[in-house]
Amino acid sequence: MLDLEIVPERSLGCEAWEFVLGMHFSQAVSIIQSQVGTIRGVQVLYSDQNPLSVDLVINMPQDGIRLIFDPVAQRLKIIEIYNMKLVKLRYSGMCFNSPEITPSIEQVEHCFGATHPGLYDSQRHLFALNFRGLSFYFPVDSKFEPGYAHGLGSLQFPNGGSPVVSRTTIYYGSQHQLTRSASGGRCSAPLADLPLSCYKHQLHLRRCDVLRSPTATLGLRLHIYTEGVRSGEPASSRRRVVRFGDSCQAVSRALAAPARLYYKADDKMRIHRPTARRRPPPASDYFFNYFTLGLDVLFDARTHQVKKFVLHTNYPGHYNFNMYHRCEFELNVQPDKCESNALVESRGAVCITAYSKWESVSRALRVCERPVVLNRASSTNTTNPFGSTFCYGYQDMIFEVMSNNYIASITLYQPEGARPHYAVNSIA
Amino acid sequence: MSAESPRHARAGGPLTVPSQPPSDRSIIDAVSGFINDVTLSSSSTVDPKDVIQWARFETADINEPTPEGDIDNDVPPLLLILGYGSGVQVWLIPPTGEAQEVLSWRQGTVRVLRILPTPQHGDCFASKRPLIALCDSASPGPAFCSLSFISIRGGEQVKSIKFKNPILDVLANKRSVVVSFSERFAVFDAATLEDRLAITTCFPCPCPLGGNSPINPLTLGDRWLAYADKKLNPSKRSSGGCESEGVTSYTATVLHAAKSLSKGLRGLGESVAHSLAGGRSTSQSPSPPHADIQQPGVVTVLDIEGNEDDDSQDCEDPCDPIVAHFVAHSEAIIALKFDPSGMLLVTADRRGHDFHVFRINPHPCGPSLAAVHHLYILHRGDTTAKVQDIAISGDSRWTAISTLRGTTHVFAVSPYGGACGVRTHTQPRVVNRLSRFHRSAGLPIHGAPCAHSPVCEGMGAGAWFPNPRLPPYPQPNSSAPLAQLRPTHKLATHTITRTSSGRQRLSSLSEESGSAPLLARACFGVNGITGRAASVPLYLMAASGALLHLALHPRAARNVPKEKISDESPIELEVEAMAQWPLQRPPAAADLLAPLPPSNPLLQPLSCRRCADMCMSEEERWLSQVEIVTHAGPHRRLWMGPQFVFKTYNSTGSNSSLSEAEAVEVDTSAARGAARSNPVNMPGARPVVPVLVDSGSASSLEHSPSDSFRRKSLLAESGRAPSVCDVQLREDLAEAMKEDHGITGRFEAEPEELSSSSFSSASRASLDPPSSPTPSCSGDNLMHFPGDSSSSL
Repeated sequence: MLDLEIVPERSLGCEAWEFVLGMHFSQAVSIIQSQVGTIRGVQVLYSDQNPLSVDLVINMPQDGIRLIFDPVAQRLKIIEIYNMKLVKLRYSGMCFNSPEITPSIEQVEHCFGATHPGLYDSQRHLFALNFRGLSFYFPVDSKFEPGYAHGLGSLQFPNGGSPVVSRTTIYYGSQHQLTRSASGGRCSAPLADLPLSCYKHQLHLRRCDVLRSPTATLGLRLHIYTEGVRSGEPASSRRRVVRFGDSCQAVSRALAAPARLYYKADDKMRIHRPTARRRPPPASDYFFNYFTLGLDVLFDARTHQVKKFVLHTNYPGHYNFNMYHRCEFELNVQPDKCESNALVESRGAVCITAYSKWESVSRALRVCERPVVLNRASSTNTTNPFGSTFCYGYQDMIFEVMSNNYIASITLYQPEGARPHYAVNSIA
Repeated sequence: MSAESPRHARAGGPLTVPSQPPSDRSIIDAVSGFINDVTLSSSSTVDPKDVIQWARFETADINEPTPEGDIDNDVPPLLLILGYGSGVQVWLIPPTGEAQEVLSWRQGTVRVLRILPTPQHGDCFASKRPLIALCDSASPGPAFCSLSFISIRGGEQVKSIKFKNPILDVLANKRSVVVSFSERFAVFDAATLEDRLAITTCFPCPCPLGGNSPINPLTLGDRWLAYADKKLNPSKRSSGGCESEGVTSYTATVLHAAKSLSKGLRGLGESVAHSLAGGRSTSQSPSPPHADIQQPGVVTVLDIEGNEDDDSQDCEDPCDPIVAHFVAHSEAIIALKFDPSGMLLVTADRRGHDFHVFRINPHPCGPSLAAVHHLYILHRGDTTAKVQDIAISGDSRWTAISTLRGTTHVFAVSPYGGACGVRTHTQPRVVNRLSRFHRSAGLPIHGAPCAHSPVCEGMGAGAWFPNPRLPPYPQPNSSAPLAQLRPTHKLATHTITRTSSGRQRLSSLSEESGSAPLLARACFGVNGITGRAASVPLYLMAASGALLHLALHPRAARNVPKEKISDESPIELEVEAMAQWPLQRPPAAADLLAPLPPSNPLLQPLSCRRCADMCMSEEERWLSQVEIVTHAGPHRRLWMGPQFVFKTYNSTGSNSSLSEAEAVEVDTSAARGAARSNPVNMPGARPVVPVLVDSGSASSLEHSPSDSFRRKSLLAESGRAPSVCDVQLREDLAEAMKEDHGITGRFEAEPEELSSSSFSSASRASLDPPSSPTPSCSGDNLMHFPGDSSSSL
C-alpha cells in the first residue's frame, strides 16, 4: 500500500517521487514505470475520436488514484484519490487515512483545520469540504438531505457515526467545481504552470513558428524556456531559429545538445526514389532527437547540415505516443492552387497548428494526392493496435494524419535540387 | 629507376602525375604485417629549396562534401598544398585519376596558403572568387606579419592586412577567417574580410617544431572555434571534461580567474591596434598580481558567429559566446581538431602519450550548463612525441594522428562513445549506440556503472527523457592504435619511383628519438567506390613527397576464433596500399601563378548538380521523404504493457462526465475476435488506392505465444481469474467507479473495441480481393483499402 503525503494545491507523493500539478504526462508515466514493482495494472484513458476535448487520465485502480491531465497541454491538472481504502495518506507528516484511521469528518478537521462550511451536491448526494487546492467528498445518505438546508451543523448522523471521506481531489487554484462543464469530459480546473522541479534541465517549448517563403520552408523559430543558470531561478525564455542548411554546431548551440542521436538505419522509403539513386548510400544520415521539444532534426551524413525537420504532436492513439512532448507549431501555408481563383488568394494563408483537423486543412489546401499508408510496428513481435496513419505530401511538407483526422506529425524537408549551390561566378 | 621516368608530364598543359600502383612487394608485406622496405631510390641530395616543409589537405569549394545521394560518383577530389623551402605547390587529386598541379610558384618562403571557401551571404568579393590567403616572406615589412588576399582568378590582391606579430596560421570556413598568432588570434568576416573579434588569452604553447616557431592550437568548425585557454574560469566551467587530470591546479586559479576570460573577449575594433600589436596596451586592465598563474590543458570552445540571427535581439540576457570551457589535459595542449560534424573534439597535449576525444553538449544558457563527455583516451605510447596533425573521417569513426616522428596512428572511435567492436566498425554505415539486442534486453545506455550506482536509481523517477548534460557521464574508453603507419623513406630521398608505399608496424618504444621532424599528414577520403564494404580510404602525405592512398579494412581480430566473433569482438585493421602519387616538385618546374587560365580546375564552377528527381512527377517526389522511424524507441512502447493498459472512451462527444464514461481497452494482443470497424476512417476519404508502407519486420509467427503469455502474466499479477479478461477488466473498472458515483446510465454506450493488426502469415495474404472487409479477420489491418476501391496494388 502506498504511503503518500498530500500537499494541497501542489502534489501527492512520497520521499522518492511525487506527482506534481502541472507535471507533464510523460514524467508521471516515468514515475509510475520506476515504481513498476508497487504500482500495477495502470490504465491510460483517452478519447480516440476527440483527443482534445476529453481529459487524458492515468488510472491506478489498485491504488485508488487517478491522475487527470489536460488533453491540450498534456499536463497534470487534478489528482484524485477515489478509493481511500487502498492508500495511506498524510498531511504535514500526520497520517489521516490508513486502514487503522478512518478519514471521518472529524479526522479531516483535526488534521487540516477549519474551513468554510461544506457544499452539498444534491444530484450526486455528495457533501464537499473545500480547502485551498484540496477537497474532500463525503457521501451523504439522501435521508439526511432535508437537514442540510440549515447548514452542515444541522446534519445529524445517527449513533454519532460521521460520514467518511470517499474521495479526495488535489488541484490548482482555490476552488474546484465538482460539476464539470458540459462541453464533454473535460474538467474545468485551472492548469498550473510547469513546476520548476519538473524542468530537470530540459528545454521546453512554448511555441514553434514555421518560417516559410511563399512556397518553401526556411526553418523554425522556437520559443523555448528553461530554468536559469542557477537552479531554482525562474524560467528564462528565448527565441531560437534553426534553418535548413544549418550545421550541427549551429543547431546544438540554439537548442542545446540533443537528448539522443539516432542514426538512420536502412531507409525503406528509398524504393520510391528514381532508380539511379536507389542504391543505399555508404553513410547514414542521423537525427538529433529533441524529445521535450517534440522535434527531430535530420542531418545529412556527408555535409552535416540540416535537411529535414519532423514535428510531433503526441496524440494518444498514435504509435509514438509518449515518446515526444507535443510540438505546438504554427504553420502558415500559401495554397499553391490559388492562381485560378482570386477569391482564394484574398483569403490568404492557411494556418495549420498541432490542433488542426486534416479535413479542414485538406479542404483549404485542396490536397488531392494519394496518401502513403504507414503501419508502424516495432521490429519485435508486437503489433500496432492503433491502425495505420496516412501521409500526405504538399509542397515540401508531409502530413501524417491519424484515423481521427488529427495531424500526428509534420515533416518539413528541403527538396533535393533546391539546395542553394552558390556557383562560383564565372567571368569568362 | 631514374628521375627521367615520365612521372611528371607537362606537355604545354599543367603538370600531372598519374597514380602508380604500389609495388607488389608492399602489398605482400602489408598482409604479413611487418615491413622492411626496400629503397631503390638514389639518395642524391636535394636543393633545400625543394624540400617539403609543410603540407596541408585543404577543403575548398571544389571538394566540399556534397549531400549524400545527390551525385552518383560523388567522391570529391583531394586538394593538397605543399610548402617548400621556397615556393608552394597545390595539387588536385581525384580518387583514382591523375593528380594535377593547379597552382605553383618557386619564389619566397610561404608560411601559410589557404584557399578560402566562398561565403554564402553578403560576399563583397563575389567577382574575385576564389581567393587565397597568403602569408609569405615576399611581402614588405617584417617577415610573415602581413596577410594578403589574392584573387587567383584575376591575379590581383584584393586586400592586405598588416599585423605586428608574425602570423602562425590561418583557418577559414564559409563565415570566418581566423588568423592565429602566438598567444592570440583574430577573427575576420569571410564575406567582407573585416575584423570581428580577437582573443588574447591563448595559452603560450611551447614550441614543438624545433623551437623556431611557436604554435597556437586552434580548430575551427562551422561556427565554433576551440582554443587552448590560459586559465580555468570556474564560473564558466562546463561539467565533465577530463576528470582524471588537472585537479591539482584548480584551487590555485579559483581566486583569480574570475573575470579574465570575459575580458579577453573583445571586439577587435578597439583592441586590434593594441592587443594584436603585442605590446602591453592600456586597454588591458592592470592585472591582479596572481593573474600570471596559468593552467595548461584548458580548452575553450567559442561561438565566433555571435548573434547575427534575428532571433536573439530581444533576448533578455546577452548570449554568452562561450560554448564550453573545460580541462582537457594536465599538460599544455598542442593540437585540437573538431570532427566534421563539429560535436567531437580531439585533443593532444605536449607529451603526446594519450589523446582525448570529447563530445561537446552545449546549452543555450551558457557554458556552465553545458557538459563535456570524455569519450576516449587514445593511448599512443609512453614516449614523447609531438603531434603535428589530427585527421578525422567523415563519419567520425576513425581518427588518424600524425606525430613529428613521421608516424600516423589510426584509432577507432564512435561519435557516441563506448567500445569499438565488430558491430560498430565493420559495417559501411554508422550504427546506433545500442544494438537491437541491447534495447530488447533493456540494458542501460551507459552500461554497468550506471546500473548499480544508487545515484542512477535516485534519478530514476525524474529521468524520463535522456539528458546528456546531467551526470552520470560516460566513462572514457581507453584504446590503442589499430595501425601505425610510417612511410619509410629517408628525408632526402629524391627519386621515389618504385617503393614508397611501405608500412611499418612499430611498437611505440622502438621509435627512435632525436631525429629531425618528419612530415606526415593524413586525410580520410570518402568511402565511395572502393570495393569492400567497410573499407576506409586514407591518404597519407609522407616526407618523401609521395602521397599514398591506403585502404583500411577493419575486420574482426584474428586471434578471436571465428565461432566466437560477436558484436563486441575487437577489431583489427588490414592496411592495403592502393596507389601513390610522387608529388615532389621536380627541380625545374615552371610556375603556375595567378591569374590562372580559365581552364584551371580551381576556377571551374561547381558541376551543376543534376537531380534525377526532376524527371519524376511532382506528385511522387515526396514519397521518398517520408520518415518512418526517427528515434530509437524503447523496446516496449507504453501501450504494449504490461504495466499500462490503454483504454478509449467510446461515447464520443457525449457530455457525460469523465469519470463516468465507459472505457474500452485498446487491445494489443493479436488474436482477438472482432476487428476494428473496417476500413479505417480515411481522412479526407477519397476512393483512391493508397501506397502501402509497412515498417514492421517480416511476419513473425512466434509472437503469438509470447503475447498470450504476457496477457497471462498480466492477469496473474493483478490476481484475477484468467477468465474472459476484457469483460473482467471492464467490470472491475465499473466497480471502481460505482463506489463513488451514482449510476447514471453507465452502460449505455456500445463498446467499441480496437483490434490490432497482426503479423500472422495470413496478414500477408491481404492482397486477396478486398470485396468487403471481413471484421473477423484480424490480419486485414495491414493493408487498408479506403473507400470502395476494388483495385489492388
